[in-house]
Amino acid sequence: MYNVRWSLSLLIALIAACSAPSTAIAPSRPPVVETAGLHVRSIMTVATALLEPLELSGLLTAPISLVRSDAGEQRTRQVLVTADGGEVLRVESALDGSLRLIAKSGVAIEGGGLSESGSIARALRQLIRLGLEIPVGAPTVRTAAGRILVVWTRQVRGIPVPNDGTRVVLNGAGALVGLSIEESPLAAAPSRIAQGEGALRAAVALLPRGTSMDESPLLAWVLPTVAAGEPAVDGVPRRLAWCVSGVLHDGTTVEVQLDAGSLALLGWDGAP
Amino acid sequence: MVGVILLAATIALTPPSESAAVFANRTAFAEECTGTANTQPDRLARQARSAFAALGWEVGGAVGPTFTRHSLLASATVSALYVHSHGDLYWDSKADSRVGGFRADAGVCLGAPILLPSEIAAMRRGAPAASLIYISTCHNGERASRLSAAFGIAQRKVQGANEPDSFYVGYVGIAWQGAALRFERAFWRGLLDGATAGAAFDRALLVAYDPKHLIPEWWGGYNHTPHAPAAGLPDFRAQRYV
Repeated sequence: MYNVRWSLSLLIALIAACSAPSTAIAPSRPPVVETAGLHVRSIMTVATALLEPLELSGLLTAPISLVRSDAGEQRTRQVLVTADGGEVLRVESALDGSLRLIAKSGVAIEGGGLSESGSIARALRQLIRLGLEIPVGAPTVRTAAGRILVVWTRQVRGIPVPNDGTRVVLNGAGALVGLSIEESPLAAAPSRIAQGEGALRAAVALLPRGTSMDESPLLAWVLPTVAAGEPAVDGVPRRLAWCVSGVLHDGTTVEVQLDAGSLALLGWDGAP
Repeated sequence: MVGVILLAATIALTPPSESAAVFANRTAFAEECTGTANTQPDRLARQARSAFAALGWEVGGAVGPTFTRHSLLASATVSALYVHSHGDLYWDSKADSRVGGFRADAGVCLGAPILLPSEIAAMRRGAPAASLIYISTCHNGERASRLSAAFGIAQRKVQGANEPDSFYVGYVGIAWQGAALRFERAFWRGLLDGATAGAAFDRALLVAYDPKHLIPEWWGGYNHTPHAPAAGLPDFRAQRYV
């Protein structure tokens, strides 16, 4: 009942917020948006930290909207647009106000030859500038299409939660393209965890004969995909799984994910 | 007389320039071939189909065994194309080099026919550069792949002046389906939110996919908006998500 009342009040407040007119950006606005008990960092606070004063000129704030992330988390979304409607900046926050996503549009394609340590330093600087928590552990640095991805994968008691964590995307010169922070819900770990050799045997039984198996299964928190036949979304908790990879006889790389306790098939992935 | 009939047949078979096509290989990833049920090709194709339709394109193509060499080549002149299948830097004896390409479905686990860039280029001779090409396979985002050129899209990123009205997306190295699913969903969602192709790509880099499992690449115009020309700017309000 409490949830229903809470959801209703949130819905009413969001409708009210969405019907409010767009507002030209003004430096004097308060840094926090407070509607319906939501305490969300204003997009203008983020914009003034990320954009030059000239870039801010003439931008409009679109009405706040409520969205749901792929992991099922409810979020508020704020967007800054140009007069002709082109999106410049998007900010998403969890309902407790935690910042989840910043995405800038049109960041210059530049190659700056940043080193791995230089990229990490730039990413850290962006997190500090925005007052965000510095993630634990060492990040991985990868490049894609001229952008640099600095990724801190979330770990829970030393076991990775793939795709969760903090990701900072930079252009080749180190300017911020965007950042995201994901934290999926986790199911309880099984009381007894099966041995890795058992997981390997179960995977061999599942995959076609002749599959060349990787002999080192890894534990990870994965999103179950088998029950629905497709990747589950909307708040389905991740489960602790043994991930066993191998190569089919046609060269396709595959990974099967088995419940860490029962070794039941939770999902699989392949690389065409 | 025969020439006239052939010309008429060609005209009848050639998709109009407002057309898009979605092809996905289902068989090679199905349980009988891999040992585990996999609906990801269908899901990837469905996402692409919904996005193309929302962008105003007439969508054709084939998912499963009807994705053959013939059906793909018959659709090679479309303005927007999505393909999900096995891809590699296949050998082209005419070019005497490895040139990229992908396999059809054709209803077989192994040894499905290969579609080479030169064959697609031959079918597209005289056609303008495509608007949006998304090759969701391994290796066709690499410089060595000539697929983007087959669709009239040069391997360069242009932002600002003289941008081409084209956008090509492919993957470098091995591309895992799970990561592709997440990345592609975000890319389509970005386009449906009204972002330019480059901005939608940037936004997709931020979603929760494993960067070890996917290295996306693009070429073309960053600010290109790949909707069907006659459709004008589509109304995204009713369908913001795939």
